Amino acid sequence: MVKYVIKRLLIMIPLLLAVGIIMFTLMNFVPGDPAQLALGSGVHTQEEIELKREAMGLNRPFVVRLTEYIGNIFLHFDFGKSLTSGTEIKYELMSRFPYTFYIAVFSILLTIVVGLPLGIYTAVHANSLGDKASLFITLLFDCMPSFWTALLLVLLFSLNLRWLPSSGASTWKHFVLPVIANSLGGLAGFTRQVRASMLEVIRSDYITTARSKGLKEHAVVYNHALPNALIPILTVIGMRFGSMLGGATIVEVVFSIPGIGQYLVNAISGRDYNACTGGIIFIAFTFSVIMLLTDLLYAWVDPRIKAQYAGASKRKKVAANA
Amino acid sequence: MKHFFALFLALMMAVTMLSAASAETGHSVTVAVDDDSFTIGPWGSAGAVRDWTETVMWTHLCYRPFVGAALDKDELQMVAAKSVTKVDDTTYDVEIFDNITDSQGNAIKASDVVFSYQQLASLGYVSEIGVYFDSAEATGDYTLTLHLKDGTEGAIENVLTLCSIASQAWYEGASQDEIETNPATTGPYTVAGVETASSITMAARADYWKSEDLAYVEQQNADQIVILCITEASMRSVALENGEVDMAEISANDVSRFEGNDAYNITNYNNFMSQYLIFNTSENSPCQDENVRKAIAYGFDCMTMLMGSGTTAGIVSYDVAPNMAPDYVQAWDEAEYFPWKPEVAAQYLADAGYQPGELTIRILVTAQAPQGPYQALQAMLMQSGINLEICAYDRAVRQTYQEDPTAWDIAEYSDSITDFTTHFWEDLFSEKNYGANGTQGFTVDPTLQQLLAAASADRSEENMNAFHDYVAEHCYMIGLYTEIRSIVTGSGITDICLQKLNPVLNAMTFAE
Repeated sequence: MVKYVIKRLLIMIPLLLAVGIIMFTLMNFVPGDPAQLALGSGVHTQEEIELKREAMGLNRPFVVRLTEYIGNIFLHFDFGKSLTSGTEIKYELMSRFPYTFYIAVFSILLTIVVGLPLGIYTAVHANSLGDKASLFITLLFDCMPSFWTALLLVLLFSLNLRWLPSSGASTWKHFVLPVIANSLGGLAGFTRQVRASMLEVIRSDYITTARSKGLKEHAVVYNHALPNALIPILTVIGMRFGSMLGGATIVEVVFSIPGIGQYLVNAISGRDYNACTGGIIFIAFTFSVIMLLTDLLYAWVDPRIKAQYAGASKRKKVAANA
Repeated sequence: MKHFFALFLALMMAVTMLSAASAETGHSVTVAVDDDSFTIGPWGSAGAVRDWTETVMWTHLCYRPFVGAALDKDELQMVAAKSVTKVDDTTYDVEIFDNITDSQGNAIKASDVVFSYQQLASLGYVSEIGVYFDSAEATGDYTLTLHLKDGTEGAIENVLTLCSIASQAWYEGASQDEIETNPATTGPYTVAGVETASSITMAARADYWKSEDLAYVEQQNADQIVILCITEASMRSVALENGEVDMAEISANDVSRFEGNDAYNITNYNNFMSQYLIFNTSENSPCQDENVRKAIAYGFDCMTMLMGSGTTAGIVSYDVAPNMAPDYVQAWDEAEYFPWKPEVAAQYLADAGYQPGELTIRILVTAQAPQGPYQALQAMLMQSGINLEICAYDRAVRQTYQEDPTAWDIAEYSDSITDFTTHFWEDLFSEKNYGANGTQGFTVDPTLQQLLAAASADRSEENMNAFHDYVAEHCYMIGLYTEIRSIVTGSGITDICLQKLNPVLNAMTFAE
């Protein structure tokens, strides 16, 4: 198992290298001069621009800059400086990550707390009135763009009822509406996924056997059906959590949460090449870590998968001995 | 039970009165801004982003009001300088007060001032410092000499007012994090709290070194100022309506929500950022032909363009210079340049040899700017038989294409005027900035350069008129409009003090 984890961690290195190289190369070849951006929007002479290019090291060959950039990231965890604000990108990412993390964690918790029981209920009571009502409501949320949901929440809870603040990130109250807005769209998809997954399991022969043994319905659902339906559910949770850690862009912008998503939006609109590249490598890293944790959760949930992870190394040993 | 109830009520009243009394001891102002680049360094950020947020924070609160003076209607308000003495056209002796300390107790001496100027000059973020400042040297603990590159009118004022001052010892010993979150400020406020990219709380310094003859940039009318970043324009309006913020700049579309409501005060101001159209006069563009340029110039109406951006709040101008600088010739306001006359436009088009509908012109615009005005321009030019293709690119790509004479025929141009009209013209037309390209519109015209040099050297009305008339006659550029912006405040703030477009947060007037 440990070997599996180490192997996965080692695989992450070429993956992140590839992301870094692709991003740096793309950003290097898109139109736009970082030196002019760094100088600001005024009129600058060619001499000033050349001096800035030299100061930023842009006159050096592409390969030299790429090697230096990648080396700085992987050896010193140094993403360079933002072209527009001049701040350390590492500092920006690390100081903004907690906000994105809070939103992601609480959004995923809300999704699980509401979506899991609802999905199980709709699967167990498939085609009932409750199932149909749930389908209608979840589809409704699914169809609503998150910025619109966010604005509706603001209008109701901030402007009309004045219960919760509309912008900022200084107290727990500031996170209530963003978390709800961030969850609602995903909640619908998650509930439908749980329902589909549970339906497939509930129709299996071993569930019929469990029921015929006289087990209570509660035990059949939660002890026999749910664990076997968890793998696709965990995949959805992992994917969603991973992408949320990359920033809930729209929600962060609407509620002025200073997270990774807002940082990237600003970086892209301001053509801050360094910040874009650094931010995307950071997102690739967090996504890879979450995917690794999801894979480990598979092993924890399903002993067969755990046996596979452990078995691979054992099989190699046996083959070597033979 | 009754006694207990009465006692409880009395206690509650006492608590309420006490809390009300404590709330009245000081004013706190929360200001919404649209930018999250909260980098409170004394000399700006490496990216030279000097936007509203940073300017507001540095200029009036933390650092800048320092060395010398604040420019106010041609009058210098001394801040840290006791005296400024002219030695010759390019040399000034400055004496600073001897009791100046920053918020961490560091004494500020002439050597710190020299260090600050050298830092700003080497970083190159403030163009006026690059243009005018040559060198500085300390001649004593509290005296220094400033040398200018250029002794023209306004040079010393720019040099004195545009450099923030910080202690050299503090700056060189501080980490980036300390500079960001716990700076040693030399202005009347200090940083009390920072929420990264979300908010900054500034508190009035009780130990501010000066107590008499305060310039208004040194006032401490608000005990606490909170700058809150709200990026979405509509959410700033919501935050104002909620009472979450006391002040925000509101977009033209939203300002009607506050008009006629006694709970809010609206301050309209001219944002100084005027819009222009520049013609590409290189051989790669049909606008090389003066008749084509004039066909376009007579083919649209500025007010209709302004309405395309969703507002009529603006000052329309066809002129080739903004009416905001001391060297502006007021008679230009009376002149009629290119009024909307589709039939005249059609005639110029015919003179250029084009049939109606035959000519297509590409306009280069920034994608982030509202596109409505250009769509209005497109519709109006179509009436004169000119097709307009709107080429909208984001800022970086636009900057690149701007230098390519084959990429556009007209470019929208926004600029503010910082001091003199001639500097505004130099930005656009001086071949010093554009080399072989001539000007921003690729105009290679020795007479134009000659007239510009004469106007820059001597801003006499004759020289100014000569250049102005030449540009207008050849239609190298057209003025469009200057937008009016609105700052909305809660009724607790009765007056906003504006200095060079920025609200002086510490000098606002509060309702009794």
